Amino acid sequence: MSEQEELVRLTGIVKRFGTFTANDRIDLSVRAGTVHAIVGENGAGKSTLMKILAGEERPDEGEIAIAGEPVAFSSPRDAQAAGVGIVHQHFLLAEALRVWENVVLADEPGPGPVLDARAARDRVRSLAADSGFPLDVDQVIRDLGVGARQRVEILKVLYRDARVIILDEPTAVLVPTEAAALFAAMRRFTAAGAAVIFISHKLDEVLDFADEITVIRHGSVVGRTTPAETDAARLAALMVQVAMPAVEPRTTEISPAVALTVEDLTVAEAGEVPALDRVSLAVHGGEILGIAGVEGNGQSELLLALLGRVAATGRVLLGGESIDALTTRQRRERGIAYIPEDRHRDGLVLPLLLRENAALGYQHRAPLRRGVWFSRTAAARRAREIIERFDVRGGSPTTPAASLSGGNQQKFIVGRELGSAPRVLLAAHPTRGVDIGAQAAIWRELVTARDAGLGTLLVSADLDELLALSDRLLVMSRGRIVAELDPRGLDATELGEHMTGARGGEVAA
Amino acid sequence: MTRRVLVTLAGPVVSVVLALLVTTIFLEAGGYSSLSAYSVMWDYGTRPESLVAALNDAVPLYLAGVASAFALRLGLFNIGIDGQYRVAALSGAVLAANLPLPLPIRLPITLLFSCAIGALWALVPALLRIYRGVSEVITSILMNSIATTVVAMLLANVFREGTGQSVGTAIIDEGGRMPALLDLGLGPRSTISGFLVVAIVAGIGFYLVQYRSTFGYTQRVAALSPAAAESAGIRVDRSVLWAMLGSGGLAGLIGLPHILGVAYQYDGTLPTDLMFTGLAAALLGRSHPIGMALGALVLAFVERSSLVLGLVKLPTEVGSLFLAVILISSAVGYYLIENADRRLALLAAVRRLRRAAAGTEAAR
Repeated sequence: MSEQEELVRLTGIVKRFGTFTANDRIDLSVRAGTVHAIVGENGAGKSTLMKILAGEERPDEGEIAIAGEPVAFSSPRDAQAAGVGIVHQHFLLAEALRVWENVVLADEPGPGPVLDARAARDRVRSLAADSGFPLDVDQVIRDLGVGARQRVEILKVLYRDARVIILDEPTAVLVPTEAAALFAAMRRFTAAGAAVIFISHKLDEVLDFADEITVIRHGSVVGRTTPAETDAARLAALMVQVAMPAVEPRTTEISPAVALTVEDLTVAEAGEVPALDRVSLAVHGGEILGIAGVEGNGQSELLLALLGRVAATGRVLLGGESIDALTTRQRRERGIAYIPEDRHRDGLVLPLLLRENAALGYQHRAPLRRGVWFSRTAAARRAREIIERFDVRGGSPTTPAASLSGGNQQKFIVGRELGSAPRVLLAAHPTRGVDIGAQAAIWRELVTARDAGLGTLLVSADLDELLALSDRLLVMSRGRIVAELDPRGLDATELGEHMTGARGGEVAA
Repeated sequence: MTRRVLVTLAGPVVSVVLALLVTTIFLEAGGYSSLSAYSVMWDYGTRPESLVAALNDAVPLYLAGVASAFALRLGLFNIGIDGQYRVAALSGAVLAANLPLPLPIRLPITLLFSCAIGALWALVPALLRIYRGVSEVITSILMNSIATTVVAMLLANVFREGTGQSVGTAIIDEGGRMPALLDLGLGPRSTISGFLVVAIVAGIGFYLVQYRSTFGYTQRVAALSPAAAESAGIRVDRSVLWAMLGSGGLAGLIGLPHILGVAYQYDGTLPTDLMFTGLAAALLGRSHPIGMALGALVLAFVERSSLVLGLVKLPTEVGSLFLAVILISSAVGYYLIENADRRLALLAAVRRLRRAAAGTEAAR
């Protein structure tokens, strides 16, 4: 391996935002044909470093060399021209366009302003086939799940002939089988001479799939190692000096009283395959009911239907009382809390202050509403309570939500939703994309609320999370519940097999 | 706090400076002395009666600005304000002339009735937007044309009073007119209209509703993040409806200073195009009630003082040019300031982060 060409060399990279140093003299070397993992806590400076390499940020000091050639990128275009491409954690796709259209966007083949649609489409299709991606290039992005969207993003990079492929937390949104497929694809890219750099919080996959590992903490490199030389515990210690989260076996009882009953819940657009197909389930007080499934199999629709955001048929009872005819606001006022899957889109209003965000979803209730007035003092008090109780760092009631790091934003949302004594919590991916420290804190809060009698419906793509927290597990596939499992004694691989239908006849077609 | 005030004030200042620059170039290129033009304008504009006139002229501009801003807060462009205020002014003129009630009752009823008519005219684009997804810009422009025709028809065939050349509704008697707030005794037309009070009340009401009420909070959330609003139990379609109704209701007041304070009837003298100048006031003032007041005053002052240019053989177009540049530059200024504001906010956030980081370091 040592003979391989060095594709990327970063020397002494420094990046400051005002007086805050995000990257402090970072050196990084990545050779062709290798998978290089970058690990570190949220806010450690990994994403900034990758943005510099991809031409989206300019370093204040330091040098970049691609394949031995010194370069100075002033835009992502320059980086693309030098063969560097990045896939962000939050996808940047045009919802209304097709797969191939998104891939060629801004780099359309054809003479001058004319688009050679056939050539473009064919090229994208052969790229997808070569990468082993089962993608219909004519599908519209709107109709695609998260996994498929990520493949489109990767195709965008490949289409521009990237030799250095950067993936920012690629597996945060994937199930294990999808992640395995992604890593297989990564291997194909490296076999063809490319270098893959990926950021991850999941130490086991880093150990399984990376050739080399760089650990970053507080903007500096604190370790360079290989999977052969280290293990998860040592990596975690380097990253945060916090132990991996573990959940104690429960000592409290599940209440016999049912908190939430769902009967034959169906979500269907006229003439289409139902997104949610006659789902029935019951969540008891003090119980966490986990919903496993490959993303895009009706989990999102289930939570949105329960929240009253999408129209559904069937019956929903909250503590025995029918809430079918109620609006989202009325449902929330009756005690439904919601942790959305996309915190930036649904959970927070990023430009608004934390004070205003603390009131989100509770704005129509005392003490946040006084007569017709919005009480800023009550909202500020609520924000301060959340910040203190849930250890939200880097914010005060009068800072905008956008200034918090991802993990702290998520802690703020969890704190807001748990802070008002709800009866039922609808939680979607509560720890997606947060670091180990924040994950441990969020798990602890969910368990505390459970012990206090809260009924939780937990949707997650993180199987370790489902196994650690759930009292019972349901598996969803194509809008239906296809299996009920006991999480005790189950491991992530077995659960993953249930989800994809690889195991037994439980996954009904 | 200081930063917010500075940023709010910077918008109008940048625009006015830009406008001055462009008009100067225009004048100098035409061989005129810009300095003498400005000094003539300033001398005329700062006469007491000119200032009173400018203050009175600023009132409908301010109302138009507040009406635009009410929809702008939700990101909607209510381009139908022109039609809304013309229909509402006609209705108000007819009601004020025919309602046999004493002034303290007749006046508020007239104001409220005009608001209702303005809101009703805005209801059509609102409903089309919500149920059919039609852009409110397109439908409100069409509603303006409909307003022109409807007003002309009603004026010619239904509400026309008297015969001969003049086309207007019945004259409103003393019991229906807006009383003067203050007479400075400087000769004719030196009274400050009672509509100044209406404008101030509208501005305060706008502030309370948009900045302090639960309703204003839901409008802000719906404007910035519709998905988060829906998750929080805020119905975005309702927000659109109320934004348009509120904007139309405020628009209903725009024509009344002229109807109840100048012409005492609806006739051909009602100023049109108040909406665009009002929109410029809203952009100048960044939709803030105080900023918009400053914007409206500046615009009214320029409009008034440019009247003198004809008398001293200078092109009177200077006034219109100045206003036009203000309109464009307030959009540009708005953009520049918005970015500066964001950069400052980012810097402040970074400074806080650094302090927090320093705190954790120290704790170790």
